[in-house]
Amino acid sequence: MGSMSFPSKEMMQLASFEARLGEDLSLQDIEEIEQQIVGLNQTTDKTRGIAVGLFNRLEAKKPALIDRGIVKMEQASDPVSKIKLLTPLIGYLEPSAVDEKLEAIKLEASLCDQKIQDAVQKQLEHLEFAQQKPVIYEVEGLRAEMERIAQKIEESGTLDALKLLNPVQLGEVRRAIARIA
Amino acid sequence: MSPEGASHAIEEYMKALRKQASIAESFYYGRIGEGIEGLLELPEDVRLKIDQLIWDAAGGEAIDPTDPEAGELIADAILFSLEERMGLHAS
Repeated sequence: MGSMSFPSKEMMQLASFEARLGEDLSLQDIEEIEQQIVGLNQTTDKTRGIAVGLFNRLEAKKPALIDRGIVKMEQASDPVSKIKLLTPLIGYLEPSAVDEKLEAIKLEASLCDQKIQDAVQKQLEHLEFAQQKPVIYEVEGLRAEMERIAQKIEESGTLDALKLLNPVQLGEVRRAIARIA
Repeated sequence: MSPEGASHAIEEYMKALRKQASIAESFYYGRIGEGIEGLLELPEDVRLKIDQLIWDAAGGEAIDPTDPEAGELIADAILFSLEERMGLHAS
């Protein structure tokens, strides 16, 4: 009797990431897929090879998305929207390019009314604060992870995905339940 | 706990973390009134922990929150508590 081999769990997951390459991915989507690939148990040379290939293809998509993001930012109608659109691009740009764009936004804001100037100032503070205190970026990373877990819970109709939380996070979720009950 | 309830609670947990981050930001930029208002909305155990962290960092001295250095000290205490609530300090 012949034996039949099934693709491993890692292979299945890599195949699902491969399928997503055809989608209209955002930079955030790419980062999330990359994180999930890193989190995989790459036990064989074959899975490692596929993972590296996927990484390369994901990386190759980034420059066009960054360029598209900059065009969208520059076409935004007001300085507050421009800062919001620039924020997710900052990690991909040279610091001098970021400074240049922020200066241009500040200059544009200085020509607007006080309300816009105040809003721009607040957005700039958000950016500076996140650069000074990197835990702010970690909160954003956790938010993306939590959204995935919440989605798994909703799709499966079970609480199994809560096992992905650490004990502190689980305690906080229980606290939130008690608060909203 | 229902799946819908758990999903909603996760969303609320994330909102609470972001709110705490914005409270730290208020103190960092000297917006004291806004910061204190936010602190009062935090769960009591979290607030007490932040008080303790500030007390320890200030060496038991009274601090003036309008002083920029004290503002950063308070912001750091709030962020340390935030990291704890994310489970980053769990051993």
